[in-house]
Amino acid sequence: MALPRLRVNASNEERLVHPNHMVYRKMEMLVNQMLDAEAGVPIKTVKSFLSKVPSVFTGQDLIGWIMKNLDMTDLSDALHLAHLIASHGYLFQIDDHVLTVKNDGTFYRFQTPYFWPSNCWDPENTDYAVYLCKRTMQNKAHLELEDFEAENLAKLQKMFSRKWEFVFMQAEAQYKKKLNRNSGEKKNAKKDGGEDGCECGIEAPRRANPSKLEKSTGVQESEIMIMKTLKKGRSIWIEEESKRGAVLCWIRCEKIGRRSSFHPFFSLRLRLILIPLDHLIVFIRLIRHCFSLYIHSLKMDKLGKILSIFSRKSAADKQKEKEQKKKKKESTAEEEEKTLRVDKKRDRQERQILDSQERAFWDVHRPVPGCVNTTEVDFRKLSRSGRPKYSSGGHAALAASTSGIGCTQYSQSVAAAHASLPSTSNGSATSPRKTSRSHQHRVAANLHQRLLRRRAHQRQRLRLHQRQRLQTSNAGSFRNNYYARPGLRRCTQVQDTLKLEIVQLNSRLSKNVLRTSKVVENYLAYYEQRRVFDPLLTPPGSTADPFQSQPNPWINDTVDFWQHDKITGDIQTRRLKLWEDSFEELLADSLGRETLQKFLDKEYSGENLRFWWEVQKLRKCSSRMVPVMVTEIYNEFIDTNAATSPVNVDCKVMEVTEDNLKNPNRWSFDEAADHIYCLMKNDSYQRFLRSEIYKDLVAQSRKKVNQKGPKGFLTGNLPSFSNAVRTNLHVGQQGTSCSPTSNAPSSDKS
Amino acid sequence: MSSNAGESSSSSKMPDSSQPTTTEKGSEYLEQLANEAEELRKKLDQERHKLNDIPIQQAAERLDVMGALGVKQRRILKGHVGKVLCMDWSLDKRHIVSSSQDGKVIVWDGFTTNKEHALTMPTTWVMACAFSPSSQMIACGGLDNKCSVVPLSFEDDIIQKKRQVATHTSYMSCCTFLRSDNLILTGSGDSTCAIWDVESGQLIQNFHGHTGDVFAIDVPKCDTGNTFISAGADKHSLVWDIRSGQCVQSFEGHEADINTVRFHPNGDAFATGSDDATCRLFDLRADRQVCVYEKESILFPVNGVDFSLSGRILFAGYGDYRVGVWDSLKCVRHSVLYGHENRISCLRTSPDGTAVCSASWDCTIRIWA
Repeated sequence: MALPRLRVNASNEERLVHPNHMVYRKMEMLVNQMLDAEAGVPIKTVKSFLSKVPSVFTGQDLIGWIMKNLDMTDLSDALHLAHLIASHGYLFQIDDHVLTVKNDGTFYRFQTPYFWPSNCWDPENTDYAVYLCKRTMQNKAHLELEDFEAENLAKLQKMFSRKWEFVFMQAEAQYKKKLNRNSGEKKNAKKDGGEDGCECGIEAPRRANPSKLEKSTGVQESEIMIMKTLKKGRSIWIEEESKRGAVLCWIRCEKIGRRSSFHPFFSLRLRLILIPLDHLIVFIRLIRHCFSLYIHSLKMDKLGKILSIFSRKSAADKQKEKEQKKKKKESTAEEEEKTLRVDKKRDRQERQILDSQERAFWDVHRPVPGCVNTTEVDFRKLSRSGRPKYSSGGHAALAASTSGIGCTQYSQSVAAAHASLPSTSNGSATSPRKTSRSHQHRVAANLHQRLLRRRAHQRQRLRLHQRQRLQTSNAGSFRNNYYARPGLRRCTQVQDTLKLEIVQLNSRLSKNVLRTSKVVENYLAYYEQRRVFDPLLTPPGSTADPFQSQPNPWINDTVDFWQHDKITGDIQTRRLKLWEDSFEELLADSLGRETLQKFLDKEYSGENLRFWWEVQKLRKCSSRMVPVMVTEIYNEFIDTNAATSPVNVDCKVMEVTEDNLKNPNRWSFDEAADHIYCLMKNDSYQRFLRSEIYKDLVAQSRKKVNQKGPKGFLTGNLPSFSNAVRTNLHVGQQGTSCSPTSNAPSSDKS
Repeated sequence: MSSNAGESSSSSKMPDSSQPTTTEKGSEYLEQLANEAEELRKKLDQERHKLNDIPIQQAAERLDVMGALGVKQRRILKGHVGKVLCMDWSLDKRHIVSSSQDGKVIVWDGFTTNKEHALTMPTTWVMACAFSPSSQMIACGGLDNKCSVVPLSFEDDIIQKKRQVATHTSYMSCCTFLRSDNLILTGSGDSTCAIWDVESGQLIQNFHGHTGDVFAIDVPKCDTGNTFISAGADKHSLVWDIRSGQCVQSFEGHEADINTVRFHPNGDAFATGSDDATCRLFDLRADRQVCVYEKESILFPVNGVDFSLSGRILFAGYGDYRVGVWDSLKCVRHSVLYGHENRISCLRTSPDGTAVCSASWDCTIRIWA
C-alpha cells in the first residue's frame, strides 16, 4: 500500500489547494483500505439476465466491512458513514443518480481515483455540457438523459449558445474516440492507449495532440482575434476564435473574492485547449496585455515557463516519440500480446464501468435536485486556502502563488506534455494488483499512478521554487518562521520577538499549574453541584428534580418554566438554591442583586454593592459615558475627603486606584471593585445566606411548592419530596461553607 | 503530542534555512536565541506532561454512566433559502437570530417558530450574528468585512436603522456583544480580534497575535474577569487580556483549523472543535490540553461545540450532518442526534440550558431538548 502514503505526503500542497482536503484525505485512506485485495470489501462480477455486471459489491458487504473494520456497534452509524462516502463520490450505486447506500443487496461500485473529488475540484460548465452532449449522441438505454439532466443541458445550451459548436465538437471527438476503442481495432487501441488509454472524456480535449488537431481544424492559417472582452462583474473572459469559428484558446480569469480591494484573491484558470506553437507567443503577449490591466500580481515568468515547456516539447517531441516507440518495441512482446488479447467483451465491460464512473462523477458535482452537493466549500476556508498570513516566505505564499493561480490547470498541461512517457515505468508498481484485482482496478490504478506522477512533478517544481526562494531571502524566511508562532507580540527586530518568547516560556515554566487529577476534581465538583440545575440531565418536573419546577418548555409546549415568577409571584426554589451555591450567580441575577442590596442596606454596608455594581456598569458602558461615570464613581465612593458614601478600601488598593486615575478609563476601578467583591463574598454573603430575608424567601417558595404538589402528579410522594428539598438545602449550606476555596481561582482571576 | 513533534521538527529546520550571509553575527545570535527558545519549549512540554498524572477518564471513574437523555428534535425553523451560517440565542431564552449565505438575517421566536424580523444584508455569506444582552439589538456581518448593528423594534423598518460599527480588513467571522449593548467583540479573517464601541463605532482595543484567520471567539459567562478566548486557522487558541490587548495564554494541540471555541460553564476551561474532526478540552489553570474527544469513524470537521449547564455534556455539531453528544468527563460519545441534511455550521446551548440549537447548511435551524 504505497499509494496512500504518497498521497498523505502530497497533502502539504493539497492543503492549500482544496478547502475540503482534510475530509477527502481521511475518506481516501478509508477507501484505499476498502480497495485492499485481501482485507477490503469483496468485489465481484455478477450475472444478471443475459449480461454480466462487472466489479460490483453489495451494500450489505460494505456496511459489514465498515462495522467490522471501524469497530462500530451502531448500524445507523455505519450506514451514515457509508452514505457520506457515497455522497462524496467515492462509491456509487450502479444504476441510480442518488448517491446513497442501503444495507441490502443493491450493487455498488468504487469510483476510480481519477474522479475523486480531491483531484478535480470544480469542473467547468463546459465540461458538463460536453458530457451531456456526448450522452445524447449515444444510443443506449442506460445512457439516456434523466429529466434533470435534460433540463441542465437545455440551460447550458442557452448559456453557451455562441460556442455550442465547440462543445458539440468536443463531445463528438470524445464519442468517436470511444467508438474507435469500442471497435477494438488494434491500431487505434495502440495509438490512444499509449497516451491515454483510459481517458475518460473530461481531460481529453485539453490533452489532445496539437499536431493532430491542427490538421483537422486547419488553425495554421487562422488568426487570433479577440472576440470579446467581457467584464462581467468579477470575471473577465477572453475568447479568441479562428476564422473558421473553431475556438482556439479560451482563457478564463476569474476573481473569486470579496468586493474589498484590500486582499484581492484571484483564482486564475488558464486553459490551453489547443494552441499551435507559433500562436503561443502572440497568445502570451495577449495574456500579458490583458492581465497587466487587471491583475498586478501575475508574473511573466510563469507564462514564460508555459512557453518554454511547449517549445521544449516541440523540439524534443520527435525525439521523445522515437524513443518511446523504441521503448515500446523493446518493452517485450508480452505487453503487446496483452493489448491484443483485450477482447471485445472485456472492452465493453470496461467501457460500461467507465461510463458509470463518469456518470457518478457528475452526480457528485452536479447532483440530482434535492441532493446535497458535497463539493461545496466553506467560504472562510476557500478564501484562506491560498492567502498568506504574515509568513510571506513560508509554504503558504508559495503554494498560493503557484496553486492559487492556475496551478492545477498548469500542471495538467505539464502532465499532458509528459503524458507520452512510456507506460512501462509504472507497470511494475501496478503488477501485483493486476493479478489480484479485477480489470477495473487495474484501470483505476493506472489512472492513479498517472495522477501521482503529476503530483510528484508538481511537488518537484514546488521544491525547486522553495529552494530559489530560500536563496533569495534566507533571512526573511528565518524571521517569518518565528513570526508564525501565534500569540506573540510582533517586534520589528526578530531578536526582540525571540527574547520575548523566551521570557514568556520562562514565565510559563515557573508558573504553578494544576495536575490533571486536580483539574478533573474541579470539573467533578462543578458537575455535582450543578447537576440538578442542568435541565438536560435533570429534566425539570421529573421525579429526579428536587425543585419540582415546571417542565421543560421545549418538550411540553408550555412557557410556565420561564414565567414561574410571574405566575406565582415569588422566586423559584431553583433560583434561590443557585444564589446559595454561588455568589457569582447571586450577583448575575438582577433579583438576587436587589435582594442582597436590601440586606446590605439594613446592615449599613449597601455602598459596597452599589460601588461594585457602578464599576461593572462603567466597565461596559459606551465610550462617551466613561469620563462622566468615572467622575461620578470617584465622587461618590472613592474621594477620601468628600465622597458621599465612601467604600472601605485598604491603602494599597487605594494607591493603585489613585494611580489608575491619572489616566482614567473604564478599568480604573477594577482593583478596588475586586477588593470589595472579595469582602462581600467572604463576609456579607455568608451573613446574607443566614439572614431572615433569604430564609423567608426560601420558606415562601417552599410553601408554594408544597401547595403546588398535590395538584401535580406526585401526590403520593409529597412528604418525602419536601424532605428532599430540605435535605438538599442543608447539603447545599454545607457546600457553600467550603465553596470559597473551590471558587477561589475564578475570583482570583478577576 | 504529535503536533508538538511536528513543531519541533519544523523549527529545527529553521537554523538550516538561515545560511549566513551579510549579517552573519546577527543570524548566529538569532540561532542561539532560537535554540534557547526551542530548549525551553521542550522543557515546558516535559513539565506539562509530568503533570498529566492520570487520564481524565480514570479520574472520572467514580461517576455513573449517563443514562438516556431523551434529547430529540423539538422545533425546526424553516425560512432561510441559503445555508444558515450562524445563530445566537437571546438571553430571554426563546428568541434566536440567524444569518445565512444569501445575506438574510432572521430573528425567530424559537418557541413558536415564528419569524419576527427579517432583513437582507447587502452582502452574501453573513458569517456572524449575535443578540445583544438586552435583546433589543442584533449584530451581524460577514463578507462585507463589517459588523452592523440593528436595533429591533416592531414600529418601523428596522433595516433603516442599521448602523456599521466595526470594520475589518477581511471578512468578519464571529462577533459577540461584550456583556452589554455598548461593546462588541469581533474576530476576523484579517487575523485580529477587536472591541468596538457600538455608539460611536470607535475601536476600543484590538488584539494582534493570531497568524491566521480568526474563526471563533468566546467570552466567559462570569461577569467579572477581563479575558476572552479566540481561535482560528493557526490551530492555536489564545487567551486575551481585554485591558492590555495582550495574549496571556496560548494553547496548542489541534492538527487543523479550529472552527469553534466555547467556555466551560465554570469559566476555567474551554472546548474547541476543529477540522481535524476532534473536540478538545483545554484548561486555563492547568495551562494545557486536558482531553481529546475523537473517534476513528468520525471524519468530518467540528463546526460548533457547547456544554450543557453542568458541563457534563459536550454537544458537537459535525460536518457530517450530525450532533455528537459527548460525556465530557468520561470522554466517550454518549449518543448521536440525527436530523440535519447537510453540514452543521453552528451550535449553541440556550442560556438556561433547556435546549440546544443547531444551524445547518440544509437551510434549517433545529432545536433539540
